[in-house]
Amino acid sequence: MTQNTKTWVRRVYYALITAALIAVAVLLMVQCVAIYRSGDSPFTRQSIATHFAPIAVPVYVCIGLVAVGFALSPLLPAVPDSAPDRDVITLRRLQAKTDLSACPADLTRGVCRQRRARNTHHYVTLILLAVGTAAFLWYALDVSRFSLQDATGSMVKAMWVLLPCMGVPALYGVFTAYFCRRSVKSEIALLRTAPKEAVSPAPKNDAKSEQWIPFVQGGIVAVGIGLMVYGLLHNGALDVLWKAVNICQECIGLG
Amino acid sequence: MIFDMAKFKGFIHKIWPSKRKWMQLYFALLFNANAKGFVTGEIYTGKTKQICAPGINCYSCPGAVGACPLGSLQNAMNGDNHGSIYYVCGILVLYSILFGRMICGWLCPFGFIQELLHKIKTPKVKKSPVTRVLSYLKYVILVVFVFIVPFLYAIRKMTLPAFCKYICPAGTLEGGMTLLSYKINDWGLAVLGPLFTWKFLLMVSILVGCVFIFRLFCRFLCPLGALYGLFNRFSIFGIKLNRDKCVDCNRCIAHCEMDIHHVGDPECISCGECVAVCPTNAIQWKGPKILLPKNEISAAEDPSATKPNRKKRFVTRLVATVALLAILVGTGVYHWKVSTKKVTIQVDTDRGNQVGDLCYGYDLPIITADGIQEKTMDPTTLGRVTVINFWYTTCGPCVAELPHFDDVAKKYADQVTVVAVHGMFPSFAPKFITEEYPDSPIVFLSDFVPEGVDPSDPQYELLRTGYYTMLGGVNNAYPRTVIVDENGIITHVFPGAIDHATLENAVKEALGK
Repeated sequence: MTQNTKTWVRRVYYALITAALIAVAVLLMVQCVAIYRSGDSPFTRQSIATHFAPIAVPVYVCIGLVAVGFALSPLLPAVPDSAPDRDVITLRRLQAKTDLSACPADLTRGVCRQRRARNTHHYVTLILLAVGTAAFLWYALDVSRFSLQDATGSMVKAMWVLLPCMGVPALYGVFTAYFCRRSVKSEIALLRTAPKEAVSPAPKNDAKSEQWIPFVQGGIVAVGIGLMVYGLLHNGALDVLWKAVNICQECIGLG
Repeated sequence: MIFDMAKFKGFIHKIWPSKRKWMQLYFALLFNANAKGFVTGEIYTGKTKQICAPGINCYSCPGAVGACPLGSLQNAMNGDNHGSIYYVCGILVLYSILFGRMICGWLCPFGFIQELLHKIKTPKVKKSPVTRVLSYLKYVILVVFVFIVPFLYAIRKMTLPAFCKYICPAGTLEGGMTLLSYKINDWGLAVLGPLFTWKFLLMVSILVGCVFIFRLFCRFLCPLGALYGLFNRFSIFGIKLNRDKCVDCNRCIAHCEMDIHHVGDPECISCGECVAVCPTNAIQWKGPKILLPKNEISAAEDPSATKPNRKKRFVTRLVATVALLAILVGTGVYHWKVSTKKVTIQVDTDRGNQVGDLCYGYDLPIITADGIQEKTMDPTTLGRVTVINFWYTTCGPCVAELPHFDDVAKKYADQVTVVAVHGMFPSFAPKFITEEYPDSPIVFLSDFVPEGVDPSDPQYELLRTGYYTMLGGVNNAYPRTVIVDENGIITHVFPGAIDHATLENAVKEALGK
């Protein structure tokens, strides 16, 4: 089989399997919602069978396509490695090697401008995150907003508050990430123009900086054992057992 | 065409599961070793559920033999016994410092399911700045759903494991779907509504998403992974980067499918896939080198270099495999035997637990503010309409619906008796009753093993759930309400929580109004 044919087989198969999987997922969701909307206590074995029987064929087709995919695996390429932010590592290496004080003034200014721009965006993201967290905590720590009788309703309201509180910093974070990619590329280009006398081999040895880790490990192990023993002595294990052997229906989403 | 043995061997080698996959399968089976549960649909109620399993594995799964650490943590926030919060935190701290997120990569059954789904041949979504930002979402979920919301409800004496209830897809898949697939658990179908619909949609989205995005749940949503990740740098086992050997080639980051910034950071699940691609052997295993892949061993110290060493390694591997299999089989046999050790409940044949049946009678100890009394009551012999509600103090929906019962008990005090049968840890109940329902006409009863009885006694099963089991409460699922008329005939059965209007209407029907 020629490479061209293989490419076509792969493209066609990928299009089919993607469409099939998404279609099956949508059908499953639609049928579940349809059962829910069909009346009081709608989930019975009969109603489930009635609603899910019509989507049996797409499900079988999807399973068949999955099986075909495994059979075709010699034709389908392995998942390629992601494109990492190689630039960040390159930049770190260049930064460690380059002495900016020995560089021309315009190069130093350019590098500083890029760093300032990146830092500004990072600080703005952090400030947005802090403001979002504070706003949500202000909402959440008013206990009266969380009804004992309608916990789900309270949670839905809380999620509407949480969404902008975390969504805005997240969106800005994505923007920052893309901006930083460009900025890093610019700084690399600038640092590569640095004169030879400003570049020196970068020192790197972090073996000594990790000598304290065993002490931290020992401390945390001691804390963990202490907490567990204290809990065991106060019937903590039995409490966990009683909870684990009884089913709180709503706690596992049955409701 | 001549059969090419070399090609065939190469193909088998390519598709043969890695050591990590075998370990994932092994631990998925070990944490779900209650094979009998998968046959009968009943959850395991033995002592091993005192121990939290390290990964996400719902304890309401019929096969689960351990507790879920996240579920236990959220539930432990409420309750008068503060020992449980220390116990669960201690276990989590120990798991974190021992393994960090290596648990996600090697031990977590739900991680294994996600990786299997990702094996389906489809176009894959690569990691990008967007996935990096999304990877912080799990910290928000950890703080909001595992700590803040359960704590806010716990201070008001109500248990709300928000993550388990609103998000956990493992709970929906293992605890919900698996459990409900058995005929014995048809009670569960009757209570399904908006919550289940939401969780089903979420579960389907996550599982299908996992086909296209590597470990979607672990990377973006799992609060347990977020917690373990915080300890990754300090964990005793796992992988680390030797900066002295690293040449910053970045192949490890390119090869890794998680959103890592560097090897061993909070996103790293220590799967070890990057060890093989490192050109300078800079990525190493921490702790005892039991998982050492070949590329980290220099030719000089490779034990397979000589024949006697090769034999020794084979014997070591054989012994390890046999030991692991023996543990798995032993665990399976133990749990099968323990779960069959049940006492047959002796009941009157002319009684039943369905609507229209003469309700089973049972003498239950009365709980008052002073504790459990010697005086007992049979809820079916009162000669009045009786509402029998099964509850316990750390069951969120049970506590949330109790005010309805209190209201009905007050409103119909002269015609109706409301009894609330507490099914767990009766020692908590008196304090709760004193604080929340000091003047309530509800009669609180206990359906639990009396103090001083050895829990390993086979009779314990009967004592703990005798009345509840008789009234159709399969699998210890709470809450449940049964209404009987003045002749002791069952008029209504409600598995799950009910609202005020439903309860009042049922009471009116039982009264013949």
